[in-house]
This record gives sequence, C-alpha cells and structure tokens, in this order.
Amino acid sequence: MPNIKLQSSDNEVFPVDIEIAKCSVTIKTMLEDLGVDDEEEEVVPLPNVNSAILKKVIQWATYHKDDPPLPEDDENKEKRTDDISSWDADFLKVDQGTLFELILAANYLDIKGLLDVTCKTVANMIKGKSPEEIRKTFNIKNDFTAAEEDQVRKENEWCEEK
Amino acid sequence: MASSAGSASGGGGVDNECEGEEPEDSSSHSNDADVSEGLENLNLQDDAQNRETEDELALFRQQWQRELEATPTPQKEPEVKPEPEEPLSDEDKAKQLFLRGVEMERGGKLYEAIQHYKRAMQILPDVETRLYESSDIRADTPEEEEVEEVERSYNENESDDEDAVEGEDLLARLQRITARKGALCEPAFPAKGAHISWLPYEVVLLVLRWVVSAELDAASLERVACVSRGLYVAARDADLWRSLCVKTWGIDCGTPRANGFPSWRQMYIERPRLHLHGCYISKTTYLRHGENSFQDQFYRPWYLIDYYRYLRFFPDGMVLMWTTAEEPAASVGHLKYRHAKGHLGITAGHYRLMGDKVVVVIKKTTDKKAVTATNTRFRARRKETPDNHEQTFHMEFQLRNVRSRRNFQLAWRRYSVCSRRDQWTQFELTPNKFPPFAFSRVRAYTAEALAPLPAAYY
Repeated sequence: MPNIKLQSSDNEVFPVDIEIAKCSVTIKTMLEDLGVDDEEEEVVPLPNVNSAILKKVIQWATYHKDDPPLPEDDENKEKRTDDISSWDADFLKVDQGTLFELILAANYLDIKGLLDVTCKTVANMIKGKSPEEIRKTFNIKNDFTAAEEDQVRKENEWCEEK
Repeated sequence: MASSAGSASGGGGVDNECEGEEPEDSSSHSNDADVSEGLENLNLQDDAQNRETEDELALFRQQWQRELEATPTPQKEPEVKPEPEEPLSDEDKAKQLFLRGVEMERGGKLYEAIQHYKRAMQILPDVETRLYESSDIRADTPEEEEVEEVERSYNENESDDEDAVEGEDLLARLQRITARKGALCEPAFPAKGAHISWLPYEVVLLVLRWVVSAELDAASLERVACVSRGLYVAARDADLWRSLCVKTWGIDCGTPRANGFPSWRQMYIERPRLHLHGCYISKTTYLRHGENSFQDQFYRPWYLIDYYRYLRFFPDGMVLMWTTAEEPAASVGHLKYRHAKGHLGITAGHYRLMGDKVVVVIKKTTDKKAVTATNTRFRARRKETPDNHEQTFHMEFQLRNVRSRRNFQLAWRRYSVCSRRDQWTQFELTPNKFPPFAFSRVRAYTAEALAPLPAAYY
C-alpha cells in the first residue's frame, strides 16, 4: 500500500497509508493539489500538530478507515447515535489538554468524524452543569462584573427551574 | 426598518466616540473646509487632551484657527447653514436619495419612491450595496454590525472596558471587549496544557451546537452564557438561535422582525412552542364504586383511581403518548427515546404547532406488534383487510403559561376518535376527566448530546 509521511511540528515523521491520511480533507486536498505520485513517498509537514497528538489522530483514523459514510436520513441517525462507539469512548479518555489539542488538530486537518466526537465529548461535559460547575470543570475565570452577571442572570431567567 | 435599526444598534457602540464614526463625516472632513470648520469648533476642547498624540495636528489646527479669526466674515457663514445640503459628494447624494426613496416606500408612495431610487441609481449604480455596507440595513442580524463597530473603535478608548454605558446593549459591549481580547475566556488558575480558550470561535460554536444538540436543549446554552463574557457572546450567537427557531417552527418560520421580535433568541423564548426537555403530564382521578359487602349493607367501598396521561414531544413533529396508572417517576424514563414501547401501551404519533394550538394525531391498532407507525409494510397490508381494528385519535390543545412559565400547560380543546372510516366520535371534555397537562422537566432527556443542532441554511 502506498504510504505518505506526515511530519509533526516537532519534526517526527510518521509513515501513514495514503488512504488513511486522506480522511483528513486538508491532506486530501493538499495531495490532490500537488498531484502527488503514488510512487514517490512525500513528506507532508503539519506545523500545527505535535507528535503526541498526531499519533492519536493517526490511531483514530486507522481504526475508522473502513467506516461507511455517515447516513443522513433520520432513522439511521438515531440508530447510529444510540450506540456511541465504545472504542471512541476509550480513545477519548484523555486529559482535558489532550482533548482540546485533538479538537484543534481535527479542526486544522478537517477530519469531521474526529471533530464531531471530540466536540460531543466537551459538550457532554458542559450539559446539565451550572455555570459555576462549568467554570470549575474547565478552569475558566469569571470575568463578569457583578452588574453584568446580574443582567445575564435576569436575561436567562426564563429557563431557570425553581 | 433599515435606518432606524441602524441608529439603534449603532448608537449602542458609538456613545463616547461620536464624531469619527460616520464615514460621510470623515470624508467631508478631509475634502471640504467648510464642514471641517464646523467640526473644528466642536473639537477645540478635545484638542487639549489629545495634544500628546496629535501634536502636529493640533499645531496645524491652532494655526488654522488663527487664520480663521483673522478673516472671519466669509468663513462664518457656512456654520449657520445646515451643512449636509451643499457639499455633498455624489455618493452621499445618491445615498440620501435612496434613503428618501425608502421612506416614501414605507409611507406607501410607491411611485415617488421609484423616482428616487432611479435618480439614486443614475448617480451611483451600486448605491444599495454601498448603503448596505456603510449603514445598518441588515435587518435580521444586527449583531454582525457590532463586529465592525468593534474594529473601528478598537484603538479609540481602552478604558471603556469597565464603564458600562447607560442603555447600551450588554451583548454589543461584551462583543467589543471580547474581540479586543482575542479569546473567549481565560484560565482561572495557570495550568499547563491546552485550555478551552485555545479553541477558535467557530469551533466553540460547534461545541455549542453539540451542547444544544438535536434535542434543542436551550437551557444548557443559557447556562454557558453565564460562565464568562466571551462565552456569553458565543452563546448569544444569532446563528445558534436561528437554528433553534428553524427546528422549532420549520424553515418557513419567518424572521424575528416579521414576527415582531427583536432577535432570534427573543423569538425562541417568547413565541408559543412546546417544551421538549420533559413531559407534559395530566393526572386524572376518579371514584369507582366497589361491590357492596354481602353481609354488611353499611359497608360501601369506593375506590380512588389515579391514572396519568403522558405526552412527550420530540423535535421534527413526533410525539409519544401513554396512558397508564404508573407514577411519573416510574414512567418518564420509558419516554426518553422516540422508539415507542408498544408492549407498554405507548403509542407514537405526530403533532403540529399552529400559533398556540397543538394538534396531535395518533394511530393505534389493536395488534400490539403493529403499534409502531414506522412499519410501512404492515400499513399496506392493513388497507387490504379493513376488518383490522384501527383507531385514529385526534387531539387539539392550547398552550398556556403558568404564571411566569411559558408554555407550561396544555389545555384540551378537542378530542375525537375515528374507529371506522369517517366515523368520528367526539369526547366531551369535562374538566374532571380531562384536566390540562402540566409540563415537567426530565433531566435525563437532555443529559447527553446524541447529535448536534443542525445548521439552518437559508
């Protein structure tokens, strides 16, 4: 199988099956634009992704290389979402920093599946939490003034459960 | 609509720095001495403060002022005149004509309006687009305008961070502040590794689409807005709220303005809609005669019977209905997913929202296996055998508010059932047999995102 080489920001080179690499729309477009021959082995520099993250991304892409394209109609969607791949769940048992770096990498490399599953993980860490719990979970500073916080609370009153 | 909206939302951002904002002003400032003289006088007091940064300019102005004082008579005049009349550039003239046209069109004078439009276009063929760019004609997304505002006022006043301007929109102000910072939030404590603030704005929006999810969990979105200034700005993004509206009322739901609301968010909050993050529950109680005791004639038992009707609405027009003696705590879990558990007697149907009225249609067949409406093969077979017992329930409700809680009650309006073809039986909706449904939130329904809020396309 033809390989290409992906080079991380810290100059580590990963040989990857070209079909797997192409799950990244960014790489796919790059290869198409450059008109790369299958014969020669290209080195694609990825200055925005470090080796630890790139390794994870390749691991994810390799596991999902045979995934069928996502069905769009409603009934299938429901089936698909009911069983969140337990492999993905395990894969995403990482610290928050890694999770955000994976999101950034998936965004930069334009890998929709990975971006979806990582964003979903963050979203589920947010859902159902109070603002203070969200701040704690993500180490976010409350930069509202007291007056602003008051106004926001007032604006949001409509959905508060008493 | 256009110009008034512009001044309203623009006024929020402009406040302290009135003069430099209008593009017309600045252009005439450089081109025309008459107008700039008028401005000059206004600026005199400010000069003192700005001297450090604008030394050269101030010097020039002073010199000029002296010259003006030396020859007062010819220059004084234009000050009295209403300035916009004379020194208009072609572009301004065209814009004015166009705006007058807009006014006339609004006043119903269509013919005159067209004349004005025509003249404006003769002077400047792309006057509409230019107006669109310079002033706020964009009716439905006033937020976008603020972004430009931010860029223009970027360097002008660093201290406006803290001074809340009376009457200014909180969103506009926080947008300005956030844009200057370049990050939506900052860590409370220094920590190594990537932080949520590293995510670019569009990715944060994507995360928020997952937070809202296909189940339209707007409450979680509102809680994100309370976290930090930047996240407030993101959680108020008009695109998210537009998607929520489109999922609620359909693609033809109309713009907020057309429905009389100031924003998509306000429309989502105030326009009647069904709550999807829980169940509508109605409890009916009735007394049933017990058998008289054979031996003791004075013992007459009565039984107090409770039963519940549950209505669980989903986005996209699907509804589950369940009538059971089970208490809510034991029941609502069965209504979490769209799949109707036929063996429990849960039936699936469709609903439609029309203003504050809700119409629910549920088909029920006596064959337990065929209760799920999705079985199309069965439906086809059923038509051939009319004997097969089928009932269609047709219900109409009205959405009501309970004190400050919007849409928390569904009151019965009509209830009929069709057992055979065209044979409708209407129930008499006595209040004790058909008490209204009360909404009750079920946390489990929105605990986890299974699919993101789909983007709404025009």
